[in-house]
Formats: sequence, C-alpha cells, structure tokens
Amino acid sequence: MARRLAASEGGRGSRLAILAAAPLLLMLLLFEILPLIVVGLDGLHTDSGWSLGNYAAILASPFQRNAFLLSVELSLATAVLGVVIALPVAVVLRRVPKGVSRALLVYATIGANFTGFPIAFAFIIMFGLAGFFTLLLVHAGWIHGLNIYSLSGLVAVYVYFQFQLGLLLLMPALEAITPDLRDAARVMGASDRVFWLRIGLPILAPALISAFVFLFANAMGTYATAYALVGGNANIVTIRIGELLAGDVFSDPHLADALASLLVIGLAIPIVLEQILLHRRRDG
Amino acid sequence: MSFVTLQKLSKRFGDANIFADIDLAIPRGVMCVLVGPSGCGKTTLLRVVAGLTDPDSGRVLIDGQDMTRAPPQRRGIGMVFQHYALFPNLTVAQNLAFGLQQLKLPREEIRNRVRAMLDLVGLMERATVRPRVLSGGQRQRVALARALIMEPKLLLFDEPMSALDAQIRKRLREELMRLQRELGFTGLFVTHDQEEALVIGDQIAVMQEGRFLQVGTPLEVYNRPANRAVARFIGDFNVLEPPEISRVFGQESSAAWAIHPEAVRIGMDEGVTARARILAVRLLGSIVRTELQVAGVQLKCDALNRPDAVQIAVGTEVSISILPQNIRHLKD
Amino acid sequence: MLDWVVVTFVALVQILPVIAVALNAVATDWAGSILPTGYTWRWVEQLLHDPRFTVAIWHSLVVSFGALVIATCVSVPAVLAAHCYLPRLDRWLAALVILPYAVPGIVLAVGLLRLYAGNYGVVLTGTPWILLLGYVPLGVAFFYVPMKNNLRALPVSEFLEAGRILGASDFAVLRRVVLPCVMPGFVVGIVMNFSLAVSEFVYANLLVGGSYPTLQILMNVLSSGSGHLLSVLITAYFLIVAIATSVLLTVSGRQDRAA
Repeated sequence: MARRLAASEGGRGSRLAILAAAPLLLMLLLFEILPLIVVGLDGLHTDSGWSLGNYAAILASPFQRNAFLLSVELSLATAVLGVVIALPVAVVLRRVPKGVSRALLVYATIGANFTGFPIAFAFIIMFGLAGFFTLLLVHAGWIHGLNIYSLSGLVAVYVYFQFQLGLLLLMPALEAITPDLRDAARVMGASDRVFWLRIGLPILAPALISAFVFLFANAMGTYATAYALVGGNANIVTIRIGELLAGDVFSDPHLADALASLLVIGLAIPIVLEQILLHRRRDG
Repeated sequence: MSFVTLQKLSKRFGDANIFADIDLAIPRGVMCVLVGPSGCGKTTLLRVVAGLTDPDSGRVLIDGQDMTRAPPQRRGIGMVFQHYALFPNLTVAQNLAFGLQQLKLPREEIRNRVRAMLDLVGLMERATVRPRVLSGGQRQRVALARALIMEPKLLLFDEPMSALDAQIRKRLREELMRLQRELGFTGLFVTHDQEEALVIGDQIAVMQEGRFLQVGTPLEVYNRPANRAVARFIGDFNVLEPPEISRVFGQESSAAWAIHPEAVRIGMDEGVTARARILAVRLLGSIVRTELQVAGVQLKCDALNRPDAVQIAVGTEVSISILPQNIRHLKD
Repeated sequence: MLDWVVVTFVALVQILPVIAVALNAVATDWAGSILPTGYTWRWVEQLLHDPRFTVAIWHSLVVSFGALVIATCVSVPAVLAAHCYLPRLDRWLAALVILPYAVPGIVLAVGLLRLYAGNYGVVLTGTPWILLLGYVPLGVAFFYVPMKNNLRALPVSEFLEAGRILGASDFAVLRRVVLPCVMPGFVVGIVMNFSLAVSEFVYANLLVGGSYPTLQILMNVLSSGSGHLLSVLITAYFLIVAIATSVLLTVSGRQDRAA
C-alpha cells in the first residue's frame, strides 16, 4: 500500500525506474527466457518438420529411458539422504554455541557449492582405488576395495553437497521450533519423542518438503560433478545431453533439446505438486 | 502451612549469579507476584519452580513434597508462557487436549474436559481454528486454558501479558482474577510491571539483582517500602535526600524521605509545610496530578479529581503540607 | 556431549576433502600408502611455470571480474527500482531470479548454444562473452534475495517522502540512505556472483571449452594426467574461494558490530 504511494507520486520516478530495470530484464530475456523457449521449440523439430518424434524416440530407446530412471533414482536417494542427515545436524547446531554453528554454516555455504572437479577429485583421493580411506578400510580388513567410479560413488559425492545444502535450507525453518514450545510440551508431560512426532515434525513438514524438492532438482540438474567423476560412463540425463551437445555421438541434433525439455518437465512436476500441497495446508 | 516453599535457592550461570539464597512461602490459594526489572532473575526462579531449570542448591517444596529434582510433569503445575507457546500445527481444541492425551485419559473424558474449558474461557466457537488466526488476547486465553485444563495445583505465569496492549491486558487481568476466585488455584506470576503486580497479587515479592528486597501484601509494599529501591520501583514516590529535605522543609534528617504523591496536600498547613510553584497540572484518569517545584526540587502531588474544583493556574505559588505519619523514613 | 560428537564429525566431513587435495598437492607419492611417503613443492612449481596455468588464471579472473561488474551494474539498479517503484514487476522478478534453480544449467546451455552459435547471425559461443552475459541470470538471485531481505526491513517510501519534504531528490535518498542500508545484501551478492563465475563448469565446458580455457577447463584437461598437478590447481581454486568468503565474513562481521 505504502509502496504503491511512492510509485504513483512521481510518474517521472517510475519511468526512470523502468529505465533502471530495463537492462536486467533484457538480459533475463536474452539469456534465460529465450534459450528456454528455443529448447522447447527445437525439441518439437525433426527433419520432417514439427512433430513429437524426438520424444517418441527417447521413450522408445531403453538407453534414454534408463538415463531418466537412473537420474530420478539418484536424485531421490540423495535428496532423501540429504534431508535425513541435515535435519538432526541442524537440530544439534541450534543447541551448540552460536560461533560454532555459524562457522559450520559458513563452511556449508562453500561446501554446498563444491561441485565438479574439486569435489570429485577430492573423493577420488579419499575413496579411489588407492585412496587413503580405501586403504585404511582395506587394512582394517573391513572391505576388499571400493569403486568410487560407480553409482554408489556418485551417491556419496552427491550427498556431500546435498546435505550441506539441506543444512542451509533447514536451519532457518528450525527457528519455528522455539525453546518455549519444548518447555510447554515438557510441562504437559510429553517426552522428546512425543514432542517431535506431534509438534516438531508437523511444524517442519512444509520446510522438509520444500528442502526435499530443492535437493531433488539440484541433483537432477547436476552435470559437472558426475562428468568429473565418471565422465560418460554415468548414464544420467545431464551427461547424455552434454554428450549430444559435444557431438561425440552421432545422433539427431534435436534430441538434446527434447531431452532437456523432458528434464524441465520432470522437474516442474514435483515443484508444482509441492506448491499445491503447501497451499492446501496453508488454507486448511 | 504454606503450599509452595522455596528454601535457600541459588543459581549461577557461569560467573553470573542469577539469584542466591531465595526463601519464599506461598500459602494455598494465593496469587504471589514476583516483580522486578528485567534481568533480576525472576524468570529463572520461575523456571526452577517449574522444573525446567535445575537450581545449584536449595529446595523446592510443593504441597509438602520435595520437588527439587522432579521433572516438570510430576509437579502438578501448569504454565503460561510469555509468548504463549501454543503449538501452531494443532487447533485450539487439540492444544487443550495435548496434555490430557499424555495422561492417556479416555477419549470421551478428554472431549468433555476440553469442551468445559473452552466454555469457561469463552472460546467455544474458535475450537477448530489454529492459533495463527487468533488475536493476541485470544491466544493468551488459550494458553491459560491449556494450563488450567490439567487442573494444576500451582499455576506459573511468565510475563503473560507483556505482549498485549493496555486495553486487552486490563480485561484479561480481570478474567484471570475471576478464574482464580472460581477455581482457587495457587499462582506464581512473574512481571516487570509494578502496576500489574499490585492489581493481581495477594502477595508481592520485589526482586532485584537476584535478591528479594521486600515480600508482603500489595498494601504493605506500597505503603511501607522497605528501602529506596522498592520505593523507586513500586509506586510513584517522591524520594527526598537529606540535603533536599533541609532545602525544602527546613528540617534536618539523617534518612531519606519517601512521600506518596497523594500524601502531598495543597493549600493546607498541618505537618511539615513549604511554599511551592505549580509547574504543570495533568489529568490521569480520575486523579489530578500537579507537578510542583520547591527550591529546585520537583514534587508530585496527586488528588482525586472534583468536577467543581477551581483549577489553579500554572505558575501560581501555593502552600503545601505533609502529615508526619505519611512520611516514610528510608534506611537505605 | 553427543552434540559435540556430531559437530566434530560434520566439521571433519566438511574439511577432509580440502585437506586431502592440499596434501596430494605437496605429496611426492601417495599411492599404495595411507599417508604420503614424502612432501615436495615440485608440483606447485611445475604448475606455476606451466603457461596453461597462467592463461587459465588470467581467463578466470577476466571472466569472474567481468561477469561480476556486468551483473552488479545490471542487477543492483533493477532490484532497487523494482522494490521502490515497480511492485508489479517486483513480483515477476522474484519468480524470474529463482528460475535458474528449477531449470538445470545444462538445459540453459542447450538453449544458449542454439541461439548464439550463429544460427541467428550472432556468434557468442567460443568467446568469453557468452560467459560474461550468460552468468548474469544465474547470479541475480544472489543480489535479489539478500538485498530484498534488507529492503523489506526499511520503510523506503517513507524515506522518499521525508526526502521530498526536505528537498532531496529520490536519487539522493536512494544513494545516501537506501543503498548504505542494503550494503550487507549487496556484499553477499558480489561475493556469491564472483564464486559462481570461478566455479561454473557447465557453460564454460559446453559453450566455450578449449577456445578460452578457464581454471575449470584446465581441471578437465589435467584430470587425465598427473593427479598432483590437478591437486595443486584445485588447491589454488580453494584458496580463491576462501579469500572471497573471508572478504564476505569480514564485511558482514563489521556490519554486525555496527548494528
């Protein structure tokens, strides 16, 4: 209300404001919106004109279908692990001195963005064929060897950044669980277990769902880390798209666009579901 | 035989002494108010009585039983929190039922007791909404109902009115006193608002820097403050130091004087007297507050408003007087 | 007690990768043994004298600071203008800046490749320009979200009205009052945009690749060779990010104390 007042006050002011905002809008149009539109349109293009042929080809190919399946499995698993690990850690971080939790969170901001070669190679040093953890565990006689260049290797590396991202997303949400809520529950005779089941988790549910969807999208879109760790050997969607772009594989040039469109659609579904779910909760 | 007894309670956090050697006896059915400035240790003391914080030493007895180390739910207490601490994911009725469910009471009994309590605090039609949509006053009533429904022997209040505006606070205060009369519970009420303390309390403990300065009925504390600190905190005393007494009234005194504004009388000359100039006249409800100046010292004078009274103009010189029995000599 | 076990474990998990890479950068040999058998500066010197490294560092700095300057000049005025004058646009902006989080970088990379590889008469791919311009939408959120948090706490329209009554132009009020108040968010935006540009791999690899190699591209090249050189390179990258972060912490710490 008050803001609209400022806007209506000076027509000159708002015209200048549009001028100030114009460069960003132009950039967003040229480097965000148009690329997305082009991908969507090109995905519907085949040599014989407009058709859904590319999509049919993807669905018909077990290779591409498996890429999607593996991407979804990998993302689901690491998103669940990320949230499940981050939640108790976040609860602990609220209890320890402020300086300690702040330091860990600052590092998590960095850690959540350690993707691509830096983190993949660090994991190779630690858990690769001659990695020191691998050797440590082999010496201890617990295992015979680790294969970091595998699906479970990917899961491990993904979880590293996923749980730190989850930590960053969940910490603010935990503010809602105030100490006096726990005190109130204690005075009324509720154990810690009862408190979390009946009060804590229900309060956090929307934040947990949002964090899960965010992590899922993050994992689905991850390219650099998988590329750095296993190169073309990982049959996940982003790697397939990257290969089609780099032209290593002979194929229909528009297949990459169709794959990319499918990836966006696949990500839109959980996001839309989340919005519907959370809005229903808010209204109810 | 008192209902709640605190014996030699002490608590430190690290180097900071929160309170030390606290003794207090609250009779059954009495509302005891802990009043003091923020940071004086009153909230921590309340949490020790609740069992949410352990004391370093001393004992807490409730109804004759030593509860010093008992968990909160075994103490037979109810608590109303400063920011209500209503569970945001539960409806009003579910909030009330929560404690009863922990006791594993039959469903039917829980339903009946919740209904009766909603009726008692007048929130029947809001039973199925969540706390978020309630007004501040309604939230406060839910918090109170949630504490009362457990039929506690002792109710603890942690500054429960501080987040409300004056009008609602006054209404809730009256409602709380009505409930206490009807249900007869014993209460321990923490506040920093001295006016609230005097209205609500049957017994008042004035607390400062982890010690009790004075414990007594509201009239005792108001009329006979034990020392300067109580006089300054409770009531709106005129406190005069010995040099000021000699300047204003021409009398020598080794102790400071505390004089209630309502003990200062204009236009009479019984007791000690002085000539004063009127600085301002203001209306505080039914009270007329006159601000006076005598020899560089400002005095407050309160009198009941009389609609027919002639108003004295600002700047006029008047004579004032105070009866000797209305002067309270302060030792420290 | 259990709390501290958790905290220690998390801190170890967080820091171990960095230590591992840094150790490998100065290890003579680290294969077949749990800890390195010896330490040397050989790899560090070798990389420092490698012309590819000098070029990559230079390219990365050009891209990072270039993208930072462009993103700042474009984003900051827009965020301020939208918040203060254009509430309708502001709601759209909120959605647009978050979009890159829902749309993977690789999808946008496909689109950029279709648009700017000459199909429409413009060739930006293979040049640093596609990075300088392409990073702007990816990083707006780093300005938008923290600055918006600062702005929400300010009665901006009252500031502007007070300014008008005192005879100050809106621009003067924005520059002298509002901008200093959103400084903390602004600094977060600067550092995060910089980190984004030095860390980004998808655009760098798919849109530019070998024709303008940056640090990330050099990592890709070195990954097929000696792991030690790659370790030195990654350590250098860690250092850059650490410096950027400590700048952020210093500035935001100063803000905290001032508040």
